Amino acid sequence: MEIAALIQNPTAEQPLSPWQLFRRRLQRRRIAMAGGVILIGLYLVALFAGFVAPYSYDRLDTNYSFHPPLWPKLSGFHLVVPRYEAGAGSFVYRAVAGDTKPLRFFVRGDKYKLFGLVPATIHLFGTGDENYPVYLLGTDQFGRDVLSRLLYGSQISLSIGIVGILLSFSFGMMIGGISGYFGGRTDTVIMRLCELIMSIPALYLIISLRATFPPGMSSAQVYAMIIIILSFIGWAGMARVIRGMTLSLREQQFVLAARALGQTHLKVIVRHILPNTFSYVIVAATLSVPYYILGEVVLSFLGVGIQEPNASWGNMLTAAQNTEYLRNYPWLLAPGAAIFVTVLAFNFLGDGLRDAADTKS
Amino acid sequence: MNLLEIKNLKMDFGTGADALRAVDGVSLTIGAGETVCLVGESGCGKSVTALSIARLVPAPPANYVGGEILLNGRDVLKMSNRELRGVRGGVVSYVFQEPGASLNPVFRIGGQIKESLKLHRPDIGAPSTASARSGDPQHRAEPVLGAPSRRKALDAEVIRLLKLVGIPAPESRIRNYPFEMSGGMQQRVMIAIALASEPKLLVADEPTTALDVTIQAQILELLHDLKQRLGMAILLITHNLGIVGDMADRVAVMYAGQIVELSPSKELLRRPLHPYTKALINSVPKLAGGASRLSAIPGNVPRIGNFPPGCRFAPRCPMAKPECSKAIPDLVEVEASRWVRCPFWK
Repeated sequence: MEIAALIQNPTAEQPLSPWQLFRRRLQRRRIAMAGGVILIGLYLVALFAGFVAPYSYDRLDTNYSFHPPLWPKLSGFHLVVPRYEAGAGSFVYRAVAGDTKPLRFFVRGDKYKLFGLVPATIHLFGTGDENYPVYLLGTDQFGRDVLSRLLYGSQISLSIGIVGILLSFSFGMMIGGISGYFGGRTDTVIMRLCELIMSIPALYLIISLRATFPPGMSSAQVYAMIIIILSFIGWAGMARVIRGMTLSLREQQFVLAARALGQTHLKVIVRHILPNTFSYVIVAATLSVPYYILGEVVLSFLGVGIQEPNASWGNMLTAAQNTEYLRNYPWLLAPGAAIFVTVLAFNFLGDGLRDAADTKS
Repeated sequence: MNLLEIKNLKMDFGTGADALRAVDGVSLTIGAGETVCLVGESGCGKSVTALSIARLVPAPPANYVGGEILLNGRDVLKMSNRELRGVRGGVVSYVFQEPGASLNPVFRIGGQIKESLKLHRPDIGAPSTASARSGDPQHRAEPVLGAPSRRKALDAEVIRLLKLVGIPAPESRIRNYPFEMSGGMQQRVMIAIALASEPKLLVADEPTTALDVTIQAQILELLHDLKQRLGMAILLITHNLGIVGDMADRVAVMYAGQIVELSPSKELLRRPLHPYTKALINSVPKLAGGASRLSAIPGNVPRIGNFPPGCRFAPRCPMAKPECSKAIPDLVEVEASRWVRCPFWK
């Protein structure tokens, strides 16, 4: 048995597993890696938003409405924060010379709950004195810290993409798999339904769906509603692609082999056909996350999304739609920059994943 | 009672006016522990007949219009889906032609063997293994999914199966993906999956066609050896008469959806009776024959739905007479356990 001799030592020349090959190809793509690193950073910060943010998202400081970004200065070996007071004219502030307070790390401040569970008061940085605020990105019209709201908002805006993708993709894959696997009338009905959903302009569908939900919902309810609405529109495209892939996969012999083993139709779809679409699905999911983030922005911007005082990137931008505000207080656009960076990072990562998953390259 | 009795099976593709008869009155029995070969050219209905045993031909388009397939005395064609799932793998296991395509490319082979074990042998790793193996439903313990002892028991069984089919170093092979294995090794894995459920009948549909000759011999030898050790019956489908003599107890020769000759294999090879069988045997290349021209059967197997009237082989038959095209001859037992569908077999 020469074959036996050849593989007596199978570890000697083990070919790379599909995952290893994939990782290698991905690592060669610098921009995609950069996108991935940025995203990991963003999600980590969102996870610890309460700790990183110097203030609570709803902490009002009416003495400091529209305060411009305020950066600590270097004084000797310390970072110090000067004290500001209102000057002549509206929303003009000037530093009080010589009156500073050192910036400290791990200071006590507003109460928050880490991961929504653990009560805590320690913040990453601050002065520990209310008279010496640190507004790295300025404040909005109520004197709320834009940076803190941006961080709390990222919890909503960033997670909505992931949860939305999980919901719409698992639904779309299942429906697409069933449609392609059974074919015939099932297929026709499901595909016409998909086309129906896809043929309605998304924005109108979003708004009319929003109208079916009662007003005055809590923020958690609104959050769930946004995900449901966006997923309701998003699954159709996924189902169509998966259905197409299933049409070719179901003719593969391993599907017949699984049937011959006594496996049910449903398990053949879930266990044998859908896993073969994962390389596509992972890429498509990465490229689709921005759609959900932007969807939340649109809904909140229109005033039917996350409600004040809770922060999301969308409803923070709502405050910035006034042209006078934009001209005088450009820091209110910070959530726009955050959206821009996030969406771009997702697209870079998605492009890289697609190239890396393409074995022909 | 025979393990498998196919009685006058008739199957169409499509219904009504578009119906094309793919299997036309096939009768075949396989006893426990017997090896039967189903031989014929491509497109003569061998695979559909074999897949019908576990009703694996998708219906529609398949439409069974007549006959019975008795497996342990129960008609497969009348079974519910639930019963069918028990039969598939449980009583009949399949090994297909392309081992590379029969394995799911995205899963490790160990997991794919375990899938068969989990489906058909839920007792593995259960606390009261001994009583469960004896088949007493009263004492069969509920398996604890994911318990470490069960996982270990499953792993051990997978390794035992991989050893059984002659895969070296099974402990590390268990974590291989299909593409990391050669065709011969992949086919051994397929056989391991088929054996995992301890079937009574193994249907091997051209298991060696995609493999090269030396591996072919190894796989056939393995099947033969496993049959001796496990006592299961084998239905081997092939268009290669060369392997019939070594493997089979009996041979059924199929042509255009019908069995044209059924006979013990030794006698069939020594003295074929039907002109088609003779032509098939003649068209096997012989090394010893010297420079003689390779004889081929002129023409092709007629398309389904386009069968000639009378004997379907008549248009290609060297001994055809005018009356051959009048009526389809019957399959007649002309000698002890030798059946031929040709009145002019002498």
